[in-house]
Amino acid sequence: MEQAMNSSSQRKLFIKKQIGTQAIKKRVRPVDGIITIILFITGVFSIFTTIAIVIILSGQTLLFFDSRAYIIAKLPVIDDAIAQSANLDDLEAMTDFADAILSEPITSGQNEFIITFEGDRIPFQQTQFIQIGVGELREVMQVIDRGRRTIKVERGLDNTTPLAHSSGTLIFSMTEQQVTLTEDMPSVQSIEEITWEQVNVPYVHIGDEFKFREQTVKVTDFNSTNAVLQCITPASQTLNRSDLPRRLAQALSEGETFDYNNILWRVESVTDSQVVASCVQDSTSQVSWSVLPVTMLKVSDKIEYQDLEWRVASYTNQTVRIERCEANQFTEIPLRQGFGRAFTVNDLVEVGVEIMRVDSVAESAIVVERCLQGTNGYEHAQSDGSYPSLSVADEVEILEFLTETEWTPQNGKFGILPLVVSTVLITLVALTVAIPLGLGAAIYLSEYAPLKVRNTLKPILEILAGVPTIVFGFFAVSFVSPVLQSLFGGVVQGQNILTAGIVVGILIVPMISSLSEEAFRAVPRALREASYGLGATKLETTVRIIFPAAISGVLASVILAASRAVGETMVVALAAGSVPKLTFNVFEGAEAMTGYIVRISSGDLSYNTIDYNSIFVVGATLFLMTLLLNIVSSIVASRLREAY
Amino acid sequence: MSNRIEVGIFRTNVQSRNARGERLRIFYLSSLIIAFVVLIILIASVINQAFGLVAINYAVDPDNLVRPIELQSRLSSLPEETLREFFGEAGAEPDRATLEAQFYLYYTLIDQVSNKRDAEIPLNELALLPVEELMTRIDGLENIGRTLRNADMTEEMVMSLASNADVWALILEPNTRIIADLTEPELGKIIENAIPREILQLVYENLSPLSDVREMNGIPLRIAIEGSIIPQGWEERPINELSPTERIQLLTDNLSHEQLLALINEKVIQEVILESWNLDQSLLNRGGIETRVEDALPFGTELRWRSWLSPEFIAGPLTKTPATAGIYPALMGTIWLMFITVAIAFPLGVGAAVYLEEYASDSFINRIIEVNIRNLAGVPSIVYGMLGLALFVNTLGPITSGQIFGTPSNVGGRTILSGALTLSLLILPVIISASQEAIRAVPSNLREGSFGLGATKWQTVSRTILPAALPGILTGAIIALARAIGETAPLLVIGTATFTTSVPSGPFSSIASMPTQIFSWIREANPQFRNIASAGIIIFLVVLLTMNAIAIILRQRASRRSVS
Repeated sequence: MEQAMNSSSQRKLFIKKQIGTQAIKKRVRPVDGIITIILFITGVFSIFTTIAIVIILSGQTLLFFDSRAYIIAKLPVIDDAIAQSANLDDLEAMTDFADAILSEPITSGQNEFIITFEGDRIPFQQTQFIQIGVGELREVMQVIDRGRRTIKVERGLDNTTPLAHSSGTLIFSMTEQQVTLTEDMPSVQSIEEITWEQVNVPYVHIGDEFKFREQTVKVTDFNSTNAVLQCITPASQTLNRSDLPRRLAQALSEGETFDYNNILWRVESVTDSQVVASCVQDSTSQVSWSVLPVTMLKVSDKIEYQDLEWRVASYTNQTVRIERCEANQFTEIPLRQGFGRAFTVNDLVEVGVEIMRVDSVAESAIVVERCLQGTNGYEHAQSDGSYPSLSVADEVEILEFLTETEWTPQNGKFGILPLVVSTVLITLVALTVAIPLGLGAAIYLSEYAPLKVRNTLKPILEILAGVPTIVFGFFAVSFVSPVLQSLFGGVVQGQNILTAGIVVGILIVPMISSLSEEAFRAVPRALREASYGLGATKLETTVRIIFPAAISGVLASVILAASRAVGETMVVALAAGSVPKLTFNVFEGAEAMTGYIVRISSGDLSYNTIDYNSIFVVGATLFLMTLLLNIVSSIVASRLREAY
Repeated sequence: MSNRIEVGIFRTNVQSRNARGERLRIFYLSSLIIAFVVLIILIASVINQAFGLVAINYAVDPDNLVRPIELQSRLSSLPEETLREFFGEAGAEPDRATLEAQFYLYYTLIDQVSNKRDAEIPLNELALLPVEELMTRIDGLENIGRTLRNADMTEEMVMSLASNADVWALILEPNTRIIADLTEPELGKIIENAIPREILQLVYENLSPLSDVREMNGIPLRIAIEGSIIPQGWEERPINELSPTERIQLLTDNLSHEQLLALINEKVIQEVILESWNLDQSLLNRGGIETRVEDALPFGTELRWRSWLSPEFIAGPLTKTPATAGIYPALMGTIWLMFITVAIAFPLGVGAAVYLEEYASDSFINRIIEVNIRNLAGVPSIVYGMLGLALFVNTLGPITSGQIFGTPSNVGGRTILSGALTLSLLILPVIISASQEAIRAVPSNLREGSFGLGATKWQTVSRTILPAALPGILTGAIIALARAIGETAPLLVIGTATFTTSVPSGPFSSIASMPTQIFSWIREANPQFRNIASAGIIIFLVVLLTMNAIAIILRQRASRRSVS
């Protein structure tokens, strides 16, 4: 026994000797530390993604709201060549220029009209403007939808009256043209030249004395950038050799003169490290105003003259040229016939570098208010070579963003509502389809289906979940939309919200069903059995016991699915429509948020344009909506959960 | 007593309650069945458009190309007397070759009349016209006088040919062969007759290693078409001294029968699909389609069965015409995207999962990471696309365009690399959570055993846990990858503006991918693009199904192993 004890303690000692703490420590290699760090970085990496998303979306959104968007005022007109070469009354000559001829009459008064064409090819694009008829009977319309042989037009643009047109009337495509000045535009400034004595604020001018680098100097001459200073009272100043340029620092001796810091110095005494010097009496030097410690008049400074505020335009050492723009300066800008329609009252208009406000609009002229907020009212020559074009400016305001009902950032309409409403409608339709289907499938799979059936049926949902969304998009446009059109007839547009909603609904069924099924299965067996024990049928158990017990998971799954529907892109881009339009009619097409992003970004997109910024604003809105839904979903899941 | 009554009520009640339950059960089951039906319709609607009848017309009817050749062989088998009879009494006594040539010229004249652009008339209808009417139509042809004079044909000769029923019978005799049955020299003859001006170009395109067709002029053939079969003694002759027939010989010597046929198809016959029908219509409404082809489509239109999904479609280039468009560049783009995405997302995702499961203690930052990953999984994919656009394409453009590596792409930052980076970020949360689950499923006794043997943490992770969790991780990664290549929206946002037809050759090529290609086909106005879109979808689904199948096999293997 003792022997055994002995050998056992000996063995312990032996092992301790052989392996020892030292050996174990050796195994902790520096590699492990590095690996831990690398792993930590990969772990944190996903946070960078979130940060990047937030920074990019918010940054571009700020740019969107910050920048004033200038849009070249565009006006659809029939090709100039047509207008000039053909007499508007000479119908036969105009026929050559027409792009199509009306085959059925158009009635007056309707705000939307579907025009049918006989040929195979429709020469008009969506969103394009067309003109029907010429002369007095002409009417401008916009193409809002395009079928195989039909176009749908919007009428009554700019409060015009929809007229009646007989068959055989000519149809022209209109091109968008930039609006340019047709005459010189005069300056509206009052300009005065005043002497320095009349400038009542004590700005430095000729004869003034002040201290500059401890020397007293006098201003003898100046212009708007430089002053000529004369040394009048030298004062000894100690300069460190190390501050001086090396060339000077080595060569200086007593009595020598040197140029340094805009002053001509004379050396009084030298030591190893320092030089004592003062300015040379009456020497002059030219110094930039910017280095002088004085208040100097600057161009575009505001000064008072005759109790009015003026702006300094330029000055010499004798006179100051000042200008001021009186409030309520109005100028009429004559335009080509019909171009006035490109503007609306209170548009901000930019001509050259000057910003004006449109005060009134006529067919062939606009009246603008100039000198807004004290800006300059310059002259603009039409013959300057490059025609100053009129741009409409519009500042994006948050209020406008949230309440305006039109969304065409290119034309200065910044209301997000049409996109949001369309997205919400699609989501609602999708949920209407998906909730009964998804919950029904989930209840069947978790409560009714025998194991075997469950194992064969569940893959159907998994396959449905694995089908790429582009295939659902194809399904929407090639099957669902035609079926809806044949069911409901002409009220259904080619692209419509209902189609997109139904297909998105099918798309989210697997999500609702699998998440809800999990929730149902998580309900403890005991509850079920207690219910059966009390005599409840399967249905009653399901509806009264299991469903309430799993409600948190079910709700969470529905909200998550809604979030998915909001962010769904391909189906929406293909099937929901490509014109942003505020409508609550699900048979109509209206572009949704994701659809807008796809349409704009798959066009020719250049950076830092209003288009580029606008997709990020829409993206940020989308992000916020989905984030909100996801957060609500997780709150619902955790708050309402019954703990068993 | 009262108890019994209650039981009775209870019983009747139970029946109606059960009946209600049964109705609801049917409703629950039917929602699954609806899902099943939708899936079937979905697949059916894709297949429906990938096959079907097409109405094909040609710039030149292939029958018309065979006919002259057949005619010439028939002419040469005619006895000379018969041939002379055709020409009536007119003219002197030309030799047999001239007679054949003159007959052939007559044939080409009426062939031209029949094929006149504004009023196509089949030859057999032309045969029924009065001779005078036919003559006025022949007179209406341009250059008719000169052509006839050159061939020593008089108007009487033409008249007698036109009025001879045997001549018409000879011309109208149906072809015994189709164009694919012709011999190579005969095919060469067709090219020579149909597109004499393009022969040089064809020789250059098919045989020459030079970079420009103009370089071939003046240099000997052995250099101009180096590596091709050159007839004896022609080596030193420059191509501009060869006659068209000799140039054709170069083509027929060097190209296979199939290549020549393909050339004729492309350059001469120029197949055009006028209209296409889906599978359902093709099967159920064949009669209606045939009526439409006869009534509304131009003369000579053929109705043919076409599978839009074909080897040529898989291997073909992206072109603007649906009839010839293929998906190869998009397929390659998707494969490139897949590889680069895996290379980026897999190590990052697995690393993060290992960190979160094995290293991270439950500190604040780790909880944030967990929450963050869950939220990222809920961000719509299009938002990732915008992140990619602003970050990878725009800000990191010099890197993603390959500029700093000295191989700048011509599309700026809109490259495969940008696309792959974006997709990597997109699937990172999925890979992380899948890997986390797989690692969590590794039994803790394995871990403890490894520690017990004195292994360090990293040794435990790398030699015990990761191998055990690998099947699960791979399954998750493949499913995530399948999701990544199925994503269209982010790629559309970062890349479609620079749609190109070239085959991607590396990370700095411009973006091409199957889903975006399918998207742009669906959006095309021409309905035939729907047909190729559905063919593309079938291939795309096959690729995805293969990936998912691999994932399922891996998962089953893993579960089998963990059971054992």
